[in-house]
Amino acid sequence: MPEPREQPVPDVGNLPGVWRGRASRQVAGNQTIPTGWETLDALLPGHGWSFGCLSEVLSDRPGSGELALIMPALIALSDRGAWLTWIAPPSLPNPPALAAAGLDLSRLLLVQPRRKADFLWAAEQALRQARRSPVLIWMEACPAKALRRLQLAAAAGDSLGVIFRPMRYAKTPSPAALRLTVSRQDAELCVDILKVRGARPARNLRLQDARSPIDASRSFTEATFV
Amino acid sequence: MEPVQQSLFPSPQRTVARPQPKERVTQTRPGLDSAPPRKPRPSPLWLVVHFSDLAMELLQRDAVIEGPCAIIDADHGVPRIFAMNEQAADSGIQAGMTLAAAWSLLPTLDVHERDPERESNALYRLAVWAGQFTPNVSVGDQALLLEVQASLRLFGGIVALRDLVSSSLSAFALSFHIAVAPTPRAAQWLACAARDTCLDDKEALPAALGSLPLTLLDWDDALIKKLNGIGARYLRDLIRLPRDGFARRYGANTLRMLDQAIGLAPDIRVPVVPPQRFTAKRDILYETTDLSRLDYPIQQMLFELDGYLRSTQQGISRLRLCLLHREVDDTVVTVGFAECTRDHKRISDLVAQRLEAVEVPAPITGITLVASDLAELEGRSRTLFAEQSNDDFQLLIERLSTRLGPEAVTGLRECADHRPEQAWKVTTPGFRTSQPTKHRRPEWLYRDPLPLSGNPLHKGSRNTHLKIVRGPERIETGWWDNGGISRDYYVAKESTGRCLWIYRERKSKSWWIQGVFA
Repeated sequence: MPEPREQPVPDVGNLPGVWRGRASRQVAGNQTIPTGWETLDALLPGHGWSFGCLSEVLSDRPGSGELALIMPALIALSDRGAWLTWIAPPSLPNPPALAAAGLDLSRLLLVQPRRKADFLWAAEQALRQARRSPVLIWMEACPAKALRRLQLAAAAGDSLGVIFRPMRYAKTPSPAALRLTVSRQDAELCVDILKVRGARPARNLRLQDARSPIDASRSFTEATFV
Repeated sequence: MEPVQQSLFPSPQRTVARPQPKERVTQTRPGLDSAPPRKPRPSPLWLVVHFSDLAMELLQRDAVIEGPCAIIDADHGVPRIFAMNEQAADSGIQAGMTLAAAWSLLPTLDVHERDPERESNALYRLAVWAGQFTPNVSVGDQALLLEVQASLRLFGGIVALRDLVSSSLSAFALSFHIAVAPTPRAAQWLACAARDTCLDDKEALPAALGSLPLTLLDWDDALIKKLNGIGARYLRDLIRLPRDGFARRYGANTLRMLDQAIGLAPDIRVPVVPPQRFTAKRDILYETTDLSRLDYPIQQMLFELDGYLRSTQQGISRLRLCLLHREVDDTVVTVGFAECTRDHKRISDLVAQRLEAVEVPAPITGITLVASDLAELEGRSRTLFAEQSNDDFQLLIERLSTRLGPEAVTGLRECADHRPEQAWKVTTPGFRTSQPTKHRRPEWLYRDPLPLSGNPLHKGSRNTHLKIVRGPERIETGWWDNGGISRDYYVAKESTGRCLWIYRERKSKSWWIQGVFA
């Protein structure tokens, strides 16, 4: 009887689209940029923010640490010469603060549409056009269909899309690839990962914010007379 | 016999030199024989585009033609048919017929007079457009003559250039033939005969031209009859004839034309000079208020503009489209570009986008396009490694500002001022900035400070949810321009965890929130 020929077994581990359970976090489909926080990096697929998809950051009010969360990645991308697009921020991004943080103001684009209907259009255009560049969008009420369009636009343009929404939308489902909530507590950021592709959500991450204005060790009085 | 003793040192020979007749000695420079032969200057190569039915096609573009139609040309006072459309040709009308004969054949024939000015205008515009292929473009009889020897290397050879010209010309919806020859007249004759030849060699010219019939050439009828009389029907019969006899009988001019065609006589063609500004005008035959119907004429005008910009190596930063109406004033649409450009796709994208938002009060009868603000635009050198270019973002900025308005799409820059509300300015995107400040400032700034009730500094105040973390920082400045401030700034932490940047006015002792930290 002829011996059965040995078929080579395909390496299941290397097939794309296979969910590997806990080990999924090590594999990423898209390019990523490190978030700047090690604890967060360890829990995200590809160890960072993924290009080509939309990340949703939910927070109570502006100033609860959502910008601080993404700031290290913005600084790294700004060093590489990428343009930074802000669409409909709640108040004015203060140039001296941004420049002191290390962002290149000559590559900053501030888009403030007057009509609500133009918000979505402007966000889609920016996401489509930006290659490996961050696009920060502030939008409150955004139906799932609109979020899906933004997700597709980010994939088409290979851009880092971050949409900031109020915390009350945490319960409504959203097609964004990554969903986080963030809040501030003293000099720390409290992050909950609600949804992440290829990994389990995590709760109550504490990230030490070195750039926080609260620094208990330093208390000073400054008087500037001009 | 003694052996001849040969000394080691030969004795000097004393010879009496006889005076020799002086020879002309041409001293050659060292190395001349080994020098490479000088390259012969490349001979000119002419690419000629002959428009076979220019008059009729221009007429069809400018007027609504229904039914058989012909163009007449007065030939010594007798109107003769110059060109006709298909329907007229089917009914038996031929070129050269007198008008009376044509009308007797076809009483319903629609007749227009030939407009040489319209044809020469169209040829001039085509010549300006063709300047993108070579700077030496001249205009001939219903033909464009391009001297392309110097452009061959850029366009990758004569065949590639001819195909490029052919495909680009098809956008104008005119029928044409292209021929290439070393002399302009030969190329013109070959194109007129619809022979798509591509000749490189002057020696081959007589053979190629030989089979052309004499009726093709634009010579006098009487002259052609005379030549037919001696049995010459084709050009090769003429080339065989003795020269001086030919000149005597048929005119020195005729001989000169033949010589120019074969390459024995020079043929100087004056190149066309492009205009300083670009203007284009189109009449809309079927008046409409629907701007989408204007796509085709606008695309044609932008195509002409593209050719003009390429030939003059310029770019535009502003474009003005005037939509003409019958009784109402013109609607003017201005399209501006972030930087000087001649990218055809970008220009047409932006114009299309801009027109989407325009509403016209009355039907449009015509469009004019004026390109002002022309500036020299050199070709850009590419980088070896593709990097994130500014151009993608310039396109995005233009697209956004066209739809949202320029004040909605801005950049930010710092100003050297201690007053927080003056320390920034809205600007066009891409502005280079100065030194950053060394103080810690909040990432979000309220344009108008919000009032804060109570006094956070007081221990037992109602504002127990605010806790002062850092401060005070006194900023007292701005006395020189009536915007003087005198404030003490503090960083306060809310119970929710947010950090606010608050200040107290020293004069009024009121508290305000200036901004929020990220």
